[in-house]
Amino acid sequence: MDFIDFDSFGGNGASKDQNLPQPQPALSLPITSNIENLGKRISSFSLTRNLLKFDDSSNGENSHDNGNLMNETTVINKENEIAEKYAKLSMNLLKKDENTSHNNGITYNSDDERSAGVHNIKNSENQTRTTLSTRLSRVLNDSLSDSLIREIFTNLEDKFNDNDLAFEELIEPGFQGSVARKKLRGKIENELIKNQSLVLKEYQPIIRQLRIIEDRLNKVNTLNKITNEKINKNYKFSNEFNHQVNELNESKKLLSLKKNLLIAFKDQFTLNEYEEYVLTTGEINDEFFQTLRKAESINEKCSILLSIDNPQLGLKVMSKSNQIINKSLERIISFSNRTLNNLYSLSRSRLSTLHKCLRYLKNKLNYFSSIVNTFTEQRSKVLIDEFLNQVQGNLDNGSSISAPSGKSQRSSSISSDHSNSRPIFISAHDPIRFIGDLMAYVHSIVVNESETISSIFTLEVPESDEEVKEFKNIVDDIIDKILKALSRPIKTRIDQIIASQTRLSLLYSIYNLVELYALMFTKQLPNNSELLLTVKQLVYSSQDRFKTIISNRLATIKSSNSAKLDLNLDLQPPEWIVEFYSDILPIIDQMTTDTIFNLSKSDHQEFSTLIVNKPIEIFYEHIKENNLIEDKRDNIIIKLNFLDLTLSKIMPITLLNDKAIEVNEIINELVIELTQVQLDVLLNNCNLYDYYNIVQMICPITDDFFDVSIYEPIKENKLYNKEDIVKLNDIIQEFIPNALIDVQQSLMKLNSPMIVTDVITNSSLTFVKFYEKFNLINLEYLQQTFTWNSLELATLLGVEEEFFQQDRLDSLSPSV
Amino acid sequence: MSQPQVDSISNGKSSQSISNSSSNNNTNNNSNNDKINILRKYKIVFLGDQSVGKTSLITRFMYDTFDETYAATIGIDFLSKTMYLDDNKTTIRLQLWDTAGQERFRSLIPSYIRDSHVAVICYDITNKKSFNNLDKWIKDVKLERGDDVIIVLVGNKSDLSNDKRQVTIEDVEKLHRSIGSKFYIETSTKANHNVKLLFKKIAQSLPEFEHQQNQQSQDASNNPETIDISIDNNPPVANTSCC
Repeated sequence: MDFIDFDSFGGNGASKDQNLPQPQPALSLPITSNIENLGKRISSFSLTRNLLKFDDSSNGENSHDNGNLMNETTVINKENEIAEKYAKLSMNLLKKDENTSHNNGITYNSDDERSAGVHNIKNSENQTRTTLSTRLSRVLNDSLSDSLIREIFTNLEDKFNDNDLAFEELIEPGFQGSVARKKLRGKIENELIKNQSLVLKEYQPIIRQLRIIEDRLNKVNTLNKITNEKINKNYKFSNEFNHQVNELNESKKLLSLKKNLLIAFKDQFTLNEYEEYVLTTGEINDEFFQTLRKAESINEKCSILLSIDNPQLGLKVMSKSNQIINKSLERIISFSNRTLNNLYSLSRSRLSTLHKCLRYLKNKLNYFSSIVNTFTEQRSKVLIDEFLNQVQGNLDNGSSISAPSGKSQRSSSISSDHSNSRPIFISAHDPIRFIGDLMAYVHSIVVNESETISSIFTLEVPESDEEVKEFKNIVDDIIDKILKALSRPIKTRIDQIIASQTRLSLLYSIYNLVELYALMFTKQLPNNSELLLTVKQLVYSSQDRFKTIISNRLATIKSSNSAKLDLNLDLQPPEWIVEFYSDILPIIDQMTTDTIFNLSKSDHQEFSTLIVNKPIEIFYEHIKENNLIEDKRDNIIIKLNFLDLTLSKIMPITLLNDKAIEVNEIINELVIELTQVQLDVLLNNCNLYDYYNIVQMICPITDDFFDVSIYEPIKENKLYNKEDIVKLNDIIQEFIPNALIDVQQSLMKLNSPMIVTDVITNSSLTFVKFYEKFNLINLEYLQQTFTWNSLELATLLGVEEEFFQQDRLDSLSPSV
Repeated sequence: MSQPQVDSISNGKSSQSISNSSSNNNTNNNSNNDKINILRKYKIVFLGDQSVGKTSLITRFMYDTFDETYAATIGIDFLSKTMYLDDNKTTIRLQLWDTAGQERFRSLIPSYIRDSHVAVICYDITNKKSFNNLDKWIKDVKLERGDDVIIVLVGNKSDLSNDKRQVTIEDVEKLHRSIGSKFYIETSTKANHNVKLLFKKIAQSLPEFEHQQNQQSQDASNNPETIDISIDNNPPVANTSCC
């Protein structure tokens, strides 16, 4: 009964309440443990070995179980297990004990006795010693506390008290003592066994429960095994499944990527059916343009597709989107053309859509310009029709009602209400009114058309200032193109009137009118506008016509016989120049510009030459051709009369001041010429002409310097002699007293008294001056003088005052 | 006196014009205001002697400004303005033709009267001569347009009425009755008096507007006796301008 060696079971049950104590480890004494040694010592006692084996196997099982159920156990369970283990051990031992006793009861008893006897006999001494030492060492080496030992001993002591065993017997070394001790031992062991069995009985239900648990555990284990197997099996399966799932996931990912790519492609590169519908047949509105922008963006993005290895896709997408875009474009163009062709039905919403179309087409210049061209052509046609209706009046009204022009009638009435007004009739009596009406009508057309085009082509909600500017330029361009159509008919009509006019005053009124309209149109039209240029051309036309009329008139005069015959011996200027200037000069007098017709300086010069110099030239030619006026003096006089008239006419006109100066100079030249002629007459009549020439040849008497000695060579002349001089004196005496009357009579036909005075005075003074100097020369070289001195001669010629003044001036001069 | 104008329009002499085609279809237009022709315009010509204030009247209306310095108009000036009428739905585009009062430009003016809808004949209430010359202007208008025009008499410079008035209200009323003008009014462009009212009344006198008014009144009461508002309108206009 080895288990009794365990001190914990050696107690008297005091530790029943406590948890089962741990078996103490064996002492480190050089003795083997009881259980190990027990088998060695008692060879037949195989219990310990079985026990050990059981212990090992149970340990193994436990360890195995523990391995499996590690996670489920707790510290308390561990202790219970240990307790259970020892309980099992004890129980097994008990069972085996019982079995052994049952099976080998007789044998065992005999063997026990026999072996005991043998042992006792042979090894009594050694055994006692060994046993004692063993017991002592066990007790002494036991780690039991002193109090426990004391308690053990107290219990033992109680046994002594209870039993009749004498203490002395126990310690008796002899057989009796041995029996007593064995007896005691038997008692104790019996008690222990009882105690143990009691304890074990307490464990019975636990054991039962444990067994149940064991069954359950076994089941659990079995289940666990099955489960594990299943798990393993499933694991393999799931592994494959997972693999499959992974593969499917991969393919799903690829597919979803592909799908996303395709969706993105669809979004980026295709139009859906609705969008296609919107573009091809839907209404033109914001959505339409948004979709169109998308279609265009597809086209732009196609460059990406074209750059890939296979550009076929890009080409396909492009061709499709291009097709749709082109169709949309056609629709936009068609809408724009239709809207612009039917301005009478233009509504705000339609105008707004038109603006969107124009904004879109703005970047497609060729389409935009085609629309603009179509519109301008149509508007131009309408304007021309309307213009012709206005100008031709009721004559064309009948035909205009016919079907083809019905539409244009309606369209034209949008811009103005001219259909309501009476037409412009050309009146032979009042071309000014006709041109005025025509230009006023054109003025209305200009402003109406400008307003109409501006209202159509000016965006209501511009995106930027740039766009405003851009569309303003477009508007200007369209207005110019439309109005350009009117240029030719206007020019033709007015040119016709201008060309048919011969009256300068009417032409001047026409000029004023067109010039005023040119000024007024400048406010409405840009400077480079074709219509404005046409009106300016009309201004030039009227100027040219004015010039042409004058030129023609002068040409007519030049070749006119009556004009030539107009010249006669009364030496008066011809009538034509009077008429000519009475026509033209009042017109020029009205001009308030710096130059005639506001022409350039050179043109002004040319024009003034035409109206001043050209008549003079013609007149000179007429004189030249005329045989009547052969006398030089008459020739000069008639010219002077003509020029004097011209000067008197042009003098008051500021614009012709330059020409007045020029004419004055010509007059002065002629006056000098006439003075010379008059001097010659005086000299000839006095027979002094040759002497005058001789003196002049030696040294002109007009020079300020005079000295008689200079004229000494005169002596060499045969004519110069005393006799001739005396004769001359007689002639002078005879002629001079009547000379003044003769001179005045010869100049009677000269219209300007100032010129007459000038000529007489100057010629007489020159004569007197010569006479005076010639007299001095005669005195020097012939010692002969004339009867009259120079003052007397001057008095006789009526220039004494002038002579006196000149003489005084000469005396003041240092040279004389 | 305004009856002939109404008649002439209703007779459809200008049946080709958009104004009439649109007004004829007015019953349909109620459902579709959008269809009103946005290009419809009315031509108003301003006549009168030099320096009566034609240009300043237009400038006040257009820009609400008044320039003290006088600058004679050369030839014919043009300005246009869109007017919103009472209901803010009806818009009328007015083309204002400002003529020069100087004698030398006189010959141009009949050409502009010949296709105008309204002739605004101005005079200076402090200048009797300018009022006396109204006859000449009215004669020009009648010669060109006969009765097919709205004539409006405008006496400007009413701010000087206390000190320098030479033309009385009675004078102008007498003239108004004799010539059959649509209405007369005294304005002051300097003091900005009655200028807006003038243009409002002009707009209301236009045939299309009158037709619309007729149409509205017809729709409202279905009473044919209230059609001719032009006759009803005239006396109050005269009264307001007189006062």
